[in-house]
Amino acid sequence: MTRNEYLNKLRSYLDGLSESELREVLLDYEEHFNIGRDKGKTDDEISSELGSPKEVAESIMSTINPEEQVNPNPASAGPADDGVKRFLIILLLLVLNIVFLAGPVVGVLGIIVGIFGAGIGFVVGGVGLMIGAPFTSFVAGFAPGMLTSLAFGISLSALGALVFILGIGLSKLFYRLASMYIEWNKKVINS
Amino acid sequence: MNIQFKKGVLELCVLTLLNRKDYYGYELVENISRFIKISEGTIYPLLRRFRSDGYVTTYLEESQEGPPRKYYKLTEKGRDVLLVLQEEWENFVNGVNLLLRGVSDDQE
Repeated sequence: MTRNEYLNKLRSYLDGLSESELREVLLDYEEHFNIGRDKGKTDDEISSELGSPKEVAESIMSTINPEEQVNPNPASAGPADDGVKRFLIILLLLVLNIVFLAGPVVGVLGIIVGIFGAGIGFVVGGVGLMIGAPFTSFVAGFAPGMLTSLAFGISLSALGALVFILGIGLSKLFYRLASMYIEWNKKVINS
Repeated sequence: MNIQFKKGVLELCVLTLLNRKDYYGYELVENISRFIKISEGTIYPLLRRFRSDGYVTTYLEESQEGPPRKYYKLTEKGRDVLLVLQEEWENFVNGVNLLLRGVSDDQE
């Protein structure tokens, strides 16, 4: 193969490179041929030592292509790429969290608030009944007896306190799960 | 020989030569093929990658015999990489040699 045949073949395998890239690559091989000729080698010898244009082109594409084509600025290829990936992951997590998690979380929070409310209500009601107990005898008609009212008031307060404690337990559990989930999100973003 | 393996060895050879002096492409290729059999055309892509990775810089210098030649010069970064590759290579070769000679105790 003569020099020009070799260079043309090489060029034909190198589509996808920019014009300036291509010119630079071909210049290297042209220089190689010229120096080889100066040293008294024939084009055929030089061609066969270089290896087939196809093989050479493949090795060029495998080293140049990933950097030059995906990112025109090789120096910033790594970090910029990472930044974009990170941003996409954050976006994905955000969407995932809003779509799938926001509803249930608000629901659970509502339940917990409701439990606290019920607990407080029971306690207040119970205390009210206890305070009201001495006067029940003055209420006309269906009012229960004073002792019954007192007993009912005490049990209602106790029940309220229990419900309140249950609420605290649930809050703690919820807090733990939430912080675990947030940690997991952070880990995914940083990996 | 395994292509990836050969590639790594070739990198080591190129960096080692460039650590001694600046070479132009043809000279580099010539010096390496004197010792090992390679497809000479694959040295240039390697050199291009070295340049884009900042291991070498290039400059043109006139020659008496013809047009200017592109010279490659090792950078500090390239030297650091060379040291790492050298150590890896020596560990590897030592290990393989020990294995081939059957130095391990459990054979006796």
